[in-house]
Amino acid sequence: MRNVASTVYLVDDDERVRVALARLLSSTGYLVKPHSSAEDFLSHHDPAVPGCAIVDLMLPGMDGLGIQQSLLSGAVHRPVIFLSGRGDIPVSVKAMKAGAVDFLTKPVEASVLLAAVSHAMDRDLEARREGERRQSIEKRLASLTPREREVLTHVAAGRLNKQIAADLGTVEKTVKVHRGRMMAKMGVRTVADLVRLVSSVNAWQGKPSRPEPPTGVGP
Amino acid sequence: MVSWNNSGRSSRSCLFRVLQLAGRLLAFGWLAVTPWFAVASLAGAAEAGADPAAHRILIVWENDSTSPAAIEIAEGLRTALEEGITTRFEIYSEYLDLQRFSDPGNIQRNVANLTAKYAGLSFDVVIAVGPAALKFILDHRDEIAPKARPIFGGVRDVTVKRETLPPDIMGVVSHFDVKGTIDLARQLQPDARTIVVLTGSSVFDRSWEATARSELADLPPVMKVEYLSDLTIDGFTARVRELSPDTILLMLSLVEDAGGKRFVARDVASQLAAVSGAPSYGVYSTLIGFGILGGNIESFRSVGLDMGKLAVEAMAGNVTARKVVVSSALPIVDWRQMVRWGIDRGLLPQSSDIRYYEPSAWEQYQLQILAIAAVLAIQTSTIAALIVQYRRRRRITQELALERLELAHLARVSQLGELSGSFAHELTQPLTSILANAEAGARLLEQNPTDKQELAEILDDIISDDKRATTIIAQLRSLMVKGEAKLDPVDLNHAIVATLALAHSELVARQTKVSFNPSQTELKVRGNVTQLQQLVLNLVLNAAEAMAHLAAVDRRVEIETRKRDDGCREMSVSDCGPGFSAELKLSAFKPFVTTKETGLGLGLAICRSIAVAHGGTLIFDDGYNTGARAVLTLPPF
Repeated sequence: MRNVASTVYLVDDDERVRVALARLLSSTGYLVKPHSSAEDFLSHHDPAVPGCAIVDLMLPGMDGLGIQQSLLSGAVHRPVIFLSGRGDIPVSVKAMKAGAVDFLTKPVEASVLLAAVSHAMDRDLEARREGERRQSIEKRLASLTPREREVLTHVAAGRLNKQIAADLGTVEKTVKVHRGRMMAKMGVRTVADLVRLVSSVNAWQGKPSRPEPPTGVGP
Repeated sequence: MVSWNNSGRSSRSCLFRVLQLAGRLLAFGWLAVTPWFAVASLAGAAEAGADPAAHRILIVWENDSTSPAAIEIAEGLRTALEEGITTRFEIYSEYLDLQRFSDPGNIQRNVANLTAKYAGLSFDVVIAVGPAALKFILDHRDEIAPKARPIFGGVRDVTVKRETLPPDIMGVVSHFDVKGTIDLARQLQPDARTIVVLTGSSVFDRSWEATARSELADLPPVMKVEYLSDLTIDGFTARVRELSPDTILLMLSLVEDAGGKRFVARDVASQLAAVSGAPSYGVYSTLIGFGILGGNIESFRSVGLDMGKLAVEAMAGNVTARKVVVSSALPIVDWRQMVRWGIDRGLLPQSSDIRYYEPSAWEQYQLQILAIAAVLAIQTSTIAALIVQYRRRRRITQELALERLELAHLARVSQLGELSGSFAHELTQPLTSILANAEAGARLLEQNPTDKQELAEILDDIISDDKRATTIIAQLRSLMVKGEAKLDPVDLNHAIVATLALAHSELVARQTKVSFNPSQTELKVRGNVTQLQQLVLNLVLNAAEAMAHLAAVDRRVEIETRKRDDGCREMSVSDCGPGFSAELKLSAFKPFVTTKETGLGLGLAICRSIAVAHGGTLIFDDGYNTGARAVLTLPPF
């Protein structure tokens, strides 16, 4: 059921705990990569590997929150599950706000841990799919000519060919040609699909997306 | 002629008499050197001039001057005369030794000599001591002392009966007091109900038995009198041996036994008294000192006293007719026999003459004993005072130790309370591991085939994690419990490792790195593990706290142990914090001195008291400048 490639990074300074958790996770089919410290983990971490990280909050040197911050600052979307010996509410709130998948208290039951891992894996998968989709959109956007890109912006804004031609100082027929090529390159058939595609890219590029609601589409 | 012979005092006299005599000798010592006569008058000395006609007394002695009897009689005489005569008197003594020189020629020479010698002197009284002296005087009084009144003494009634006595004679007849002796015996042995009277088989012995029967006829009916006679010496010996100690044995006379064997009185009495089961008594003073306990016996001194009294009467002219008195007997006892039979001295009549008295250590060494007793008393009271002081001090010390223990425990508990989160985490680790292992194992069992090797490893891990948890709990409990401050052999290195294990989570949370550099060999100390761990924990956490403001990488604590050359054990805890000012280094160990905003400032004070309780020291190293370095020194094991 699980993706064979799913990897669990396990960071805990206590070797015995590390071994036991690794055993449990392995028995469930995950590939476990144990690390004894934040530094060790970060230096071996491969963002490309699908999976999640289980991190003990209290570590010698850099602690669990430090790992989380470090990953975020590197724009790495690795789902993190925190383990803690003590149910420290302020710390757990901080961790959850920073996007932690879960904050579990030791000793943790297998069902709870595995559910959290499974959830984290889903998130990772989703994030990865999202990333791939964005990548393909970007690729398609990159294949557009400047003119086609201009036309795209206007189409996505819901303007008619006639209006676009007037804006661009050209004829409606030329706009139609550009629009056709642009739609083909982007791999969409309707304006609605284009808008959904472009808005997600805009969000990803951090630009304000103000696409007007797709009203009265079509020539 | 020496009137008073002050040599040859009988050693038999009891102590008080010696003292009495000593006093007298001092008073009249000068008389001893007066060549031919003695002048003696106590009260009358002053009136000597008023009474030019002094009384003169001639004493004719049958024996020699050194015989004990003569000396005793002389003493009695002297005492009576001193007490009785208030005027000046002169005493003239003649020791004729008539028993050894009894031939008529010698007597004649003596008569002639004395007649010539005393021709110019007129005697008031002439005293004859002994039967031969009595005969000498009766025969020759007209030549030697014509006007003198004759007085005799030391003569037995049988002799008196034999002699034809002149009408003006005065004298003391010796009598052997059976009744008085039995009275004395009953006084000394109040519980005695049986009297055994021992007499031999000779005519003389039988006469003694008859005397006894008549004298003891009117004893109270409770007293049973047995007459032991007509036996051989062996028979007597056997019978007296069987006597019970509450019997009175009166040995009267055994000149001859039933077998016709003859004895010397003193020897046979001595022989029988030695084996007798009961105290024995006698009527002859010669038996005293030879095994009998005593008797109501006339002493030679009393004979002298009685003669002296008669002489006083004669000189006073009160009595002109014949006067013969029976010598007064007095109770005489042998002290050694008193001791042998366990008879209380208090039972003796007041006037008793105690012979062979061995003064008790108390009487002999009273001063020394008192001095020693005083010294002992002083020493004892000093020792007692010291003991009391010591006890009090020990109690205070114990109370202090108890309070210190109490305080140490309170400090420990409060510190453990602060660290409870860390301890919980420390305990959570093995629990996490156990749970994860167990669940992994459960999953492993569902698989087919089951990886037994893996399963065994899992179970091993569970076991060791469980032990780990147990160790932590035990450690915590030992720190929590208010134990006795007992000192046991402890490996200091081991105690430090255990403490660091316990504090691991806390140190991780404080992002403080602790390195421990133990001595190469184990470091045995005599100590209390709990308190030593408390001390280590305190020092380490203090060090961690001192570095809280530093970057995590700079927070380093170094612990080092070593055995010094002098055998002392040393542990140092160094940090990289700001250290102490010179002033604070001294006061840091005082209670309630703290640099922390929270905290009582008791931690280091308690640490130091723990060190002191272990016979060691805890100081801050003055030579260490890159932070603070606390050094614990403990004595060699």
